Amino acid sequence: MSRLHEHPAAASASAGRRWAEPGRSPRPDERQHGSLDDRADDPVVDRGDDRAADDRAADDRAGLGVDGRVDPVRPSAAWGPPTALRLQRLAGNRAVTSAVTSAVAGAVRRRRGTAPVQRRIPSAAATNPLTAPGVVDRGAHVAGLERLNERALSELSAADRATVMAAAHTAAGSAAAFAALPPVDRATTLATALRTFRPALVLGDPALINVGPRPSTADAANIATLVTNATALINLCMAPAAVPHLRDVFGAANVGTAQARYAAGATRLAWLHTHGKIVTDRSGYSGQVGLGGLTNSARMALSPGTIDSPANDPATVLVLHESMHAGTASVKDHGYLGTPGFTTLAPGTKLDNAAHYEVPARRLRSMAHAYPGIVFVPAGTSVTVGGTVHTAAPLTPLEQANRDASEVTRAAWNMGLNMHSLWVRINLHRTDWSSLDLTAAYTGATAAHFEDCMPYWSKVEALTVHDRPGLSAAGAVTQTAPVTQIDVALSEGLVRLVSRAKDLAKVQLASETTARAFMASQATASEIAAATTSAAMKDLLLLCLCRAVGSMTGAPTRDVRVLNEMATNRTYAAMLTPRSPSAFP
Amino acid sequence: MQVDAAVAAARAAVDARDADALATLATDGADLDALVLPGPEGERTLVEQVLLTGDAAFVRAVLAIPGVSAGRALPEHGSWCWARGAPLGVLEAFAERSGVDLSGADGDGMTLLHELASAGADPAVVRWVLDRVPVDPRATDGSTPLAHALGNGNLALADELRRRGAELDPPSAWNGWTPLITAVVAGMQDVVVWLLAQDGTDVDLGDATGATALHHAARLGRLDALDALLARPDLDGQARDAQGSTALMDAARHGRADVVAALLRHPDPGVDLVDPDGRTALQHALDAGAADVVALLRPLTTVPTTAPALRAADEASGPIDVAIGDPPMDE
Repeated sequence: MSRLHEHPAAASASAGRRWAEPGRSPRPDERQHGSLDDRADDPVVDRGDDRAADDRAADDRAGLGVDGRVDPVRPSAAWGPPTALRLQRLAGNRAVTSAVTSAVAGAVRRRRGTAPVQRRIPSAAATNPLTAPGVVDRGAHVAGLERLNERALSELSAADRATVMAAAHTAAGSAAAFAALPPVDRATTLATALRTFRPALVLGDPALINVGPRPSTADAANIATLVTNATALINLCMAPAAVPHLRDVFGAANVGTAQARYAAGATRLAWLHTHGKIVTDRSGYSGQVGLGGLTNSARMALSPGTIDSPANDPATVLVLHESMHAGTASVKDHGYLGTPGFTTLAPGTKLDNAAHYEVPARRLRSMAHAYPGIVFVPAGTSVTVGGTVHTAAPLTPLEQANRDASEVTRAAWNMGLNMHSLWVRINLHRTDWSSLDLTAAYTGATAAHFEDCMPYWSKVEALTVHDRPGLSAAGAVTQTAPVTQIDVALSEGLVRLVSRAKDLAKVQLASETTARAFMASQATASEIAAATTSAAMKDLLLLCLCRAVGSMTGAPTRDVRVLNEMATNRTYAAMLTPRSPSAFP
Repeated sequence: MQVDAAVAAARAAVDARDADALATLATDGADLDALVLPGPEGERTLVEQVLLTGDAAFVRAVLAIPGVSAGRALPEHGSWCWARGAPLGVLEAFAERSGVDLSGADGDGMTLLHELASAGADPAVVRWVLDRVPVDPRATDGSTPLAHALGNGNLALADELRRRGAELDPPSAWNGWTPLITAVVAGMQDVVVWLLAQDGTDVDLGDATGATALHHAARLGRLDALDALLARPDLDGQARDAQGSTALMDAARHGRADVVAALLRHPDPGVDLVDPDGRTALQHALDAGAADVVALLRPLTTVPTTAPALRAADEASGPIDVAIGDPPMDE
């Protein structure tokens, strides 16, 4: 390529490599620590709080260093900007996105096949008072425990499952004796066997979600390091050398807006730090539900792995991502790196999508998944960057369906995370059930109290709340608590499964080719033939995802309704609307 | 004439460098300013295609066609991007025939000189442009061509701009960062050294939060930059940011013994200074549990440590309720 025709992004890519971090010793395995999505959204299992596990998950998501696979978007001799640019010119943005996502597919599939998995259940101390003879609503409590046992068993390997069942049989005397036990005894026996087999299966204390720095630990210093590094990187994204990257990602007309939002993010990050609003989870919940960060303008919740190992680029970029949420209310999540259509979103959507702000930062730090040299062209439009007009074709119906179905899973996951925080709140403060004024406490809420709306969501999410007429906000008896630890565990488990659907969508819905293969593996020929519109294709893809993940709340068709219901009710205004459980058939 | 036909004809004319054919197209009613032409390097507007041929005579001829307006054909934002790799002849032709002011700015305040500075353009081209435009135009984000040149490590151009009087410390409109702060944070040590070698660089200029280059170097552990900064005799080792924190306090808070040791080489690092909460750098090290930093500072600190250790951590150690009155959180 002659200098005359050199694209500014190509030139800036070399400039970006200068933004190194002297004084920071590269780790021997650093090359492998880029991630497709540093949000740790791949189920981190066995050791959810373990930074090493987080890093391994990041490696897997990046598709790097696992089997020597070459990352198609990492600057390298084989796949540097010229090749990426060539691919874009030959086949367009979609081909680039597809290449990015397909690169991770193998690693993610491999992880699914080999990684140890778990699903948590409350401790015996928490469940025994709910299953003892004579307790109020015992049947509902037991049914909830049975669902938790089923989920936990379903995620174990066949060998592990056999081990657990053998232990349960032994406890009962024999397999026949176990089968003959009353349901409540079967459930408690099996729960005991599961806890014994893997102590990490025990649900953590919900009170340890969203906690600040622990005294006499490095937490406070680690958070300071995270904030310092993220602040530096955010500000570098406003520096002159970042302008070509901002043009590539957001379009030349939106550079100023993007810079202003980076500035707002840095300002809010400083506020959150100063006011002690950067918190983490020490209950193991984050690892269970694939949560790396959850943020609004008032609080930033980070995974424990992020806080415990703060001095690395993925952690820094994660905080940058969260800061963009904190700084500008309209900046939400409309698609992560590598998700279908990421490079072809409309300008307004990109400006309101936190993941797009990661791209310039990743370029400046020469990180993976920076889309080097790629100009982000909205589908069906042209953009001019550096005197070159780049054009992207409109999305096909299936591509649109891929994008829409992927977004449903991500939005449902996001809603589930927020809903979980409400369940935890009620679990910790039971009087809130009927006394907290929701209209005053939550923006847009129209339900007066939790009791007016949460039974509906209990039914949607297949918790026990709506099945327990004896619950009460008063008193201290666990059996009548509006939200028990069984409910908390059921909510956590659902969010975990939705997270899995989201991750699966990222891989299986990456392109038309992968989506067709996925449908062929999960749907009948007649179902596929009947899906002739983009909307119908989206519905079918969601059904396929639910079939592939396994039961979330019941049959796949019910799970599809659950996903849609969650995805379309993400705001507190929507969640906290008076509704009867009967409204969800 | 149909647009497709016009595009094909224009493409052929550009390939053949045939300005007469383009003039005929215009005569036949084609809006040449609006044409977008496909090409092996992508699609571009006709005028940009012409500018990017590198053929000055062709550029001159096309811009002379009645109805062709470079000002109209170039985009509002990034309108000078085409010039980033342009040869001098093309710029001369553009200046001669386009009627466009070479010092004009696009929608973001970016000028021709900004683009050349960030692209590492031919020095001869830059010198030619510098003879015709102001040396220090400010873009909307506050950046000057010198800031862009330094941001891309182009020290030769920085020398040229400096010789012509370019300001060394233009602050960013977003965060008040100077080129020195940016270079320190970005780890561009050669740029740091270059800036510190300039007589006019204000080494103690703070950003929007009052943090100086020394603060940033201390926080991020930029030891090379610290060494260079500490070599400047006019460096204020006791500079405070808006929170009243010194670089030494920042380094202590981050538990960076290597940085603290470097800062202690300054003749007056302010070991006994206290922040608005009454805490010395030693107190910050104690709060952070940084024993190696404490070992460095305790023998030098004469002010009693009165602030309660770990106070901030204690305050934040309890569970924090779900956000009240705020929108749902985004992952």
